[in-house]
Amino acid sequence: MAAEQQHPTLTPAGAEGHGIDPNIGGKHIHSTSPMLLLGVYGILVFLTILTVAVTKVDVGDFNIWIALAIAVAKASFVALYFMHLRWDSPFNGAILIFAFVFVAIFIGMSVMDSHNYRPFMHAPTPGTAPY
Amino acid sequence: MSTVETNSATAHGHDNHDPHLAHHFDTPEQQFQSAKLGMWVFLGTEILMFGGLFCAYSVYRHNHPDVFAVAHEALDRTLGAINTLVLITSSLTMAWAVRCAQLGQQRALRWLMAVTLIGGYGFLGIKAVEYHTKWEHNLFFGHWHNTYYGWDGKQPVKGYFQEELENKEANGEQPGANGSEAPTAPEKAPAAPAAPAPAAAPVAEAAANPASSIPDMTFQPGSAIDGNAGTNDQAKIVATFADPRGVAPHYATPAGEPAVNVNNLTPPDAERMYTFFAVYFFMTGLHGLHVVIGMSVIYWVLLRAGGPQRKAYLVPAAPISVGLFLTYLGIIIPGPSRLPLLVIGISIAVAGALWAVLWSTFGSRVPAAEPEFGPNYFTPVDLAGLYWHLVDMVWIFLFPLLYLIH
Amino acid sequence: MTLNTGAISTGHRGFHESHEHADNYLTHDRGIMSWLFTLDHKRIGVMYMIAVCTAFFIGGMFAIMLRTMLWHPLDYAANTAAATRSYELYNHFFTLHGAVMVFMFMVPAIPAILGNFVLPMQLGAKDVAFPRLNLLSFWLYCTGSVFFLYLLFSGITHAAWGWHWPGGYGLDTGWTFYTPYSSSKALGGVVPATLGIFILGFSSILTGVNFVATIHMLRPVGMTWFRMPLMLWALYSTALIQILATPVLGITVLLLGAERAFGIGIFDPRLGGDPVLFQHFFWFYSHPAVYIMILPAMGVISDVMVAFSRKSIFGYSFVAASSLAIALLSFLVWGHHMFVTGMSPLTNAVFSLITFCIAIPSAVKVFNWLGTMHGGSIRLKTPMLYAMGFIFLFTIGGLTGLFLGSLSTDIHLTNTYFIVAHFHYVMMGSTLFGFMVGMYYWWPKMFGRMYSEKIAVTGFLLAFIGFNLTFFPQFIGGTQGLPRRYASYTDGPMVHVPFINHGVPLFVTVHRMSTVGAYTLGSGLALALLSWVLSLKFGPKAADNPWGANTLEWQTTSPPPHDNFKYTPLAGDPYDLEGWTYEPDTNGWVNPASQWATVSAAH
Repeated sequence: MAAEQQHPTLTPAGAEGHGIDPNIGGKHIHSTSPMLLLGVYGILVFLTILTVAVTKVDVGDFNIWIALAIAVAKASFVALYFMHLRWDSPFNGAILIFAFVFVAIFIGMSVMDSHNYRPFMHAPTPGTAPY
Repeated sequence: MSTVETNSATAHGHDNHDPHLAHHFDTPEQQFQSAKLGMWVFLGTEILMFGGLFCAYSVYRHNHPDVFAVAHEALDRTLGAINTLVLITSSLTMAWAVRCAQLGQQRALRWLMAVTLIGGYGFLGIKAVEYHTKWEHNLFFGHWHNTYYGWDGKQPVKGYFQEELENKEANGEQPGANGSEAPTAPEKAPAAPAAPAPAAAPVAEAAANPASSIPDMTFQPGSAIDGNAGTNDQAKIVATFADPRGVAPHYATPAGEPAVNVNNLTPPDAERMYTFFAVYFFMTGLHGLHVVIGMSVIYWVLLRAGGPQRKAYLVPAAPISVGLFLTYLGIIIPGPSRLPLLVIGISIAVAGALWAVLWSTFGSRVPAAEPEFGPNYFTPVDLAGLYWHLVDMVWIFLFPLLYLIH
Repeated sequence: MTLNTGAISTGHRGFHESHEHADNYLTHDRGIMSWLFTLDHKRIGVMYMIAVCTAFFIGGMFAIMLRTMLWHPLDYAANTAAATRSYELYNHFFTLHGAVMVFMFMVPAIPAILGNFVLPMQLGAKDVAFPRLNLLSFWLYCTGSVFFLYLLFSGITHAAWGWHWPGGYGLDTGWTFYTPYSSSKALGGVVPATLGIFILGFSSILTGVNFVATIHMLRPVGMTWFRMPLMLWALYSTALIQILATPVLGITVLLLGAERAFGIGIFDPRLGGDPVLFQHFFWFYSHPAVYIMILPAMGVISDVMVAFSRKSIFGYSFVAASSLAIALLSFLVWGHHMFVTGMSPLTNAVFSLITFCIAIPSAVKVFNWLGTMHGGSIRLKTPMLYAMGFIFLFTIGGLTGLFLGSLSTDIHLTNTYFIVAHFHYVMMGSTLFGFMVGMYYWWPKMFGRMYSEKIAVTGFLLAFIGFNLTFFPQFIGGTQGLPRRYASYTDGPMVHVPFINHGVPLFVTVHRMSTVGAYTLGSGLALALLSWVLSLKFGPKAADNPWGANTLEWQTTSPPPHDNFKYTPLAGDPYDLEGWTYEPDTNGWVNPASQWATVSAAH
């Protein structure tokens, strides 16, 4: 392979690139440290194992909420650290949260509605009144 | 109001010489933050789109929990967990790649993005294996494998195209003649002014004729209303739902409650099992499509990061991926078309790899160019990473909801 | 200098170069390719204008056809092939009228045409944040429209000569596509329609993304959020809805198409599905969609009220906050379209309550506009006439919405002509009139020409009278039970009219008045189109600021140059009209103390 020629200002000073300051037009941009990335990765793997392990325990109706809670925790780690929201403009995080809020409203109202005609669907004789 | 220096009328009348700065932005930082904001807004729209499918899932699972509990046994949760770990790992490599772009670590950037792509391929490969299993066990959706009858109690319900085609064939007509109205016209005359009539007809018929052709709705594998009765598939379906993996159910049913398996479902619920697969295929299919889109975007960024001197082995990745997709198709589809697809797919992938090796060894040298991404410009890597992380996030929610019910 | 035919070939008929010595965005580049591949938001806005107004014409044609059909009630009892074809045709007409109007006209009209043109200019910016995405939005609009054109073409050829087409012909499900009819037995081309709507949805989403990013990032120095023109608040709120609601429409139509083509069984009860779930999905988008239509119109009215009352807006922060409030509340009321589908009383009550709440920010806006007019120096130019018409029609539409939001009355009024009249008052009477306001207001800026006030005002009078004649009787018919979407009707109750000994049959009267009104309305809108077209060839040159407004788009030439401003505008109070004086010889307003005056004097 041909030897790489790199622009002088882009060549890292050391093997790990210390001394390089990521900046756009002079404004410093935060770069996530490898230890943090690996740490978050470890947490995510642990939570995945937890998700599967929790299904061995039966707590009835709460199972789905526990599963969702763990999923929300995983998604939060991905969003905050991998997607850089922790150091970004708060509006970006607001968009994400708003999107989830509206999905929750949509699901909540639809399930509330269909919950109310559930007795009709499980009636002893289909098509008749449930009571 | 003070006088303001007028800018020159030319499009590039700015004092900085950043080639990436568009003319309508004042500073590169404004452009970068705008790009990120735009991408986040777009991710919001993707969340809403998947949210619709999660709503369908929620409504059906809430109303038919038994159906979901039984039907999801056909999913392999080990493969699902492996897929989750694969995607999380690829998220890690992508986030790390963004860091490398920020620090100008070009080789690490390229390798990490390539590993991300490999993770994506791995995910799709495991998905292909899972879809193959479904196909083998005839666990599809809708009219192909549905035992529920139409409200006249006479024939299985089909999709629109299927119905049209069969009616045309039945009438022995060419497409383009007046065939499409034939099946609908006879039903229209009684339906139009006297609306209650059709709904009352089967009931009236049943009441008038107790021994009529309307079958009783009990689902028994092998019974007359089972469309798969007597076929080889039928035995497979029964076996699948009796015990998909040949081992005891993974959860302990509380004492005193009937075990949740197909034999304990009510007849209407047994017929609804395929709704689970409709939801499953739509959700994982749309997610898989987004994986492909994400991989394409990362590949494009990788091409840009490689620059002209790495075209030798980056461009051939395209035919390799075509080959791999055909291979996946071959994995999914059972039956005789499997072997040719696998052979063709693997051949194309190998040919692409060979092309890469030959080109890089014997092709003419391209002088090295200044790398495109560095501490001052890494926006495309950042945006590709955001999209990939979204794909990961959607799977994080899909996995427990589809694979780990109860 | 040769007269390049490129400009003429792209539709600027008779735009003689000799009248324009300065280089502006229309003359900047020549040839059809420079238009189709432009990144200039102004050109994209103009292209949208041509496409969207064509769609309006097509949708309007369907309306005229169905109103003509309704002069005589169809005879359902005559079980002949001709009768069957007639009422099938009627279904196709009202469906395509609704679908074309909603998806191809109402949703894009003000944001894509006026928003694209005006938004960056009001920010003093050179373009939107993502110009390529803007162009992609336009191409997606054209691509999605092709699917609808396919439906029209297949429908016409099938009706005329019995041709058959893959996927079906025409569309007869109603623009609401309710399952299970649309997923199984519908005659129409549901799958092409769903694909077209999916693509049109993405056009809308990308426009929304662009507008949000532009307003966040490209505001000039000094323009804080509360110093933006209210048009931008309205466009921002619209963009929020576009972003959050349209993806759900996308997934809905995908599911519907898959249901129709592959029978996946999500909505069809015969396959274990839930048809009411389709309605939840559909209305979760389609209700916020109507606010996508109305909010930009309200933004236009805010700006116009200020300019033509010569007075700053009354209650700026209330109007701005009400735009956001409408956008957010709009997501919580979709169930009011489904009161009779069997939802539980609790769900019904929740949706009804929130529907009443959403009337409040709308009313706040109306009061603020009236407060702006009060004590102002009102000039009754065409934009102001349409704006006042808007307020009148929107008030009627909004108030009748309360009858529909209230459960007890909605039970009787649903699926009657009351609903038809209500939504035409808010969608056509308000959004279309708002669109007309915007077109007449910004036309001189867009093309540098003034239109004939006489033709425009005549058109307005015909349109306003025609609109009320068409739709007001429908309220009365609806309360007496006249059902909607029916090609046939009885005489209805006999109504006593002075000077006529016997009564008149109500339903016949309502339908015939509507038909006469529809033709009147159509002629009024045709006159509006005439006024615009004639202005391009014969209109006098427009001043930079013909209305004396203070927002930034008026502080550059008419038409603007390619990069909008030849200087960097500084933000001020957008509604501060001090300093602007009328100059009769240019029929424009000038402000010697303004930044623009200093800059243009230097050239």
